[in-house]
Amino acid sequence: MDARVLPASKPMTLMRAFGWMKDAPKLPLAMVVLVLLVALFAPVLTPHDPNMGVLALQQKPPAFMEDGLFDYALGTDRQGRDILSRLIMGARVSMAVAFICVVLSVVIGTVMGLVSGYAGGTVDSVIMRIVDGTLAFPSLLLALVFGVTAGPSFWTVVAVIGLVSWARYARLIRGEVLLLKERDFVALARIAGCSPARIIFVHLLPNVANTIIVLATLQIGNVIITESSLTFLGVGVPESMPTWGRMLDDGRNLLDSAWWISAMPGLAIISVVLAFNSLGDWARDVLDPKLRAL
Amino acid sequence: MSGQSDTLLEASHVKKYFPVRSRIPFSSAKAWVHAVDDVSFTVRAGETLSLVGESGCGKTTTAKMTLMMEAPTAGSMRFRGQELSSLTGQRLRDYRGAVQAVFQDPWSSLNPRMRTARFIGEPLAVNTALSRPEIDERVRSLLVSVGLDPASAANFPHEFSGGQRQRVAVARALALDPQVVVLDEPVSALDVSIGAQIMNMLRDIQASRGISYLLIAHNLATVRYLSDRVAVMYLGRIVEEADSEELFRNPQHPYTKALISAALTIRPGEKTDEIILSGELPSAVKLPPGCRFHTRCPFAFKKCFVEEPQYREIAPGHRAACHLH
Repeated sequence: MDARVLPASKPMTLMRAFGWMKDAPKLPLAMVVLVLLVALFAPVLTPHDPNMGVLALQQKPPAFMEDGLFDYALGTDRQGRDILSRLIMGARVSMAVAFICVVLSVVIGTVMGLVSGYAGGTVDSVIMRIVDGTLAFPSLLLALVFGVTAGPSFWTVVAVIGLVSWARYARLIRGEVLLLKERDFVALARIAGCSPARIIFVHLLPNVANTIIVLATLQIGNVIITESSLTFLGVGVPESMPTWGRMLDDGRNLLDSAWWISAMPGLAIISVVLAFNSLGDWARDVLDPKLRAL
Repeated sequence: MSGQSDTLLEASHVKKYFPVRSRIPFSSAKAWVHAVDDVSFTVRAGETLSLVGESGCGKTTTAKMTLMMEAPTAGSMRFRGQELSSLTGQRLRDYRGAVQAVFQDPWSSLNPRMRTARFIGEPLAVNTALSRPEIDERVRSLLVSVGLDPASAANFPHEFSGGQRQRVAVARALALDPQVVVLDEPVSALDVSIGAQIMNMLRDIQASRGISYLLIAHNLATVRYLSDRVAVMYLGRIVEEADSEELFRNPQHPYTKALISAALTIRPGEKTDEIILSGELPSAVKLPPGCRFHTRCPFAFKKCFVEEPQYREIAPGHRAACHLH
């Protein structure tokens, strides 16, 4: 019989409200929470001043190696600064840059992509030509121009990355909207009297959420790397703020003698990027009603 | 023919031409696809009018114009005497509430990310001031009236079968208590048995709510079962229109005869002569001169090649456009 329906979904309870968290991957979740907490309480957590080196303690290896000191658990860099302390402070800058840039480009890119795809015509052409221009423009050149005119600062980095990376979101989401808007439920929404804004945000946006999440988690890694390139070029965040990217660069010339100077921030970047990617994978599945029911 | 007062939807001399882009840039010579070419019909309160015809005859474009998804190139579309293109503000909202639609593909007409309750209740949320609990209450009774369990309100579309999805689509179309529902091939994407259930449901709903249907279909069995009146379309024009029984018993236009003889009948004795059409549907860009059916008509004679037949009444309530009559 056609009229028979599947068992009804369970009523909303407290268990269910948080139940969706239960399948989250444990290790990545713990990793992300840890990094966020560290970033939040960084000034309290650092065992040493991250910017003050001790001349007698230059290039000390981590504690587990011969000649290592327990007081400087992850070793020191060329200027005798504690790597652990710098990692902790660096988490703050790197996370802040990553989050602000991702939010900025997600918001701009998503709105542009949705409007472009749904409106079509001239609006679409104009937005897509801007996207073409943005994607074609070398971002490091833009960064140099910004850095020279506005001076290197945290906000220069955020502005440069944000201005460049929204375009990928816009392009991909527009493509998905072009497919989606041909579906009958969009026509039915119009027939039911829904406004274009409602169609875009209620009907189209939830259907492109997967793409946004996957792109955003991939972008977090990208932003951390880009920030380090900008810092390397001298147009990134100022010298007084340690970032993972700067630390990576600091140890570049000493890889054969003091590998830990680069390896420690490198490990930090790898684990954070991996953690965000696997959380993103999980979030995408949770948000898909088809997989959620299983 | 009944009086004019109960006429809901009225199309008169409606045309829809789509421009064809020329392959030579900057050339002014523009070609047009004559998707709908001078179509007139009326949908009266409580009745079902069907538009039948093969693919590309303009029936779906006609449906889209009644739903204001396309604007007619010429002619007028009126609802209760009001020109559709002039509707704005509250009047437009009233029209949206009065004329709703059910489409062919139930996999495409439900938003995969929207729970059923929200999907069915959306027209109410957008067009009325009802509160959330009131809407939920209405949604429950709508689900019951389309034969679904009210508990399925929390389901996502993928949890339904094709037939159930089409029931959800019907429930949404009924949410605003419409006077006309445009059914664009409502059962052709479904299994025959499921399609039959949906047709029965549509009939029951019409009987209990007194709504009108504008049915777009190519399956004659569906049309015959659901319709009060049938209009046969060929290449953008209505070639014959009559009460359903009259049309199926006594088709006058050769194209209608061919359509009916090509279909398997439910009553085997009924079939008298078989007309098998040869050739393809002519291009809607370059229409044949004279009667547009003469290229495929087995009865075509001299006049058909040069003169377009008048669409006129050949018996009470039975109109056709053919030189044979």
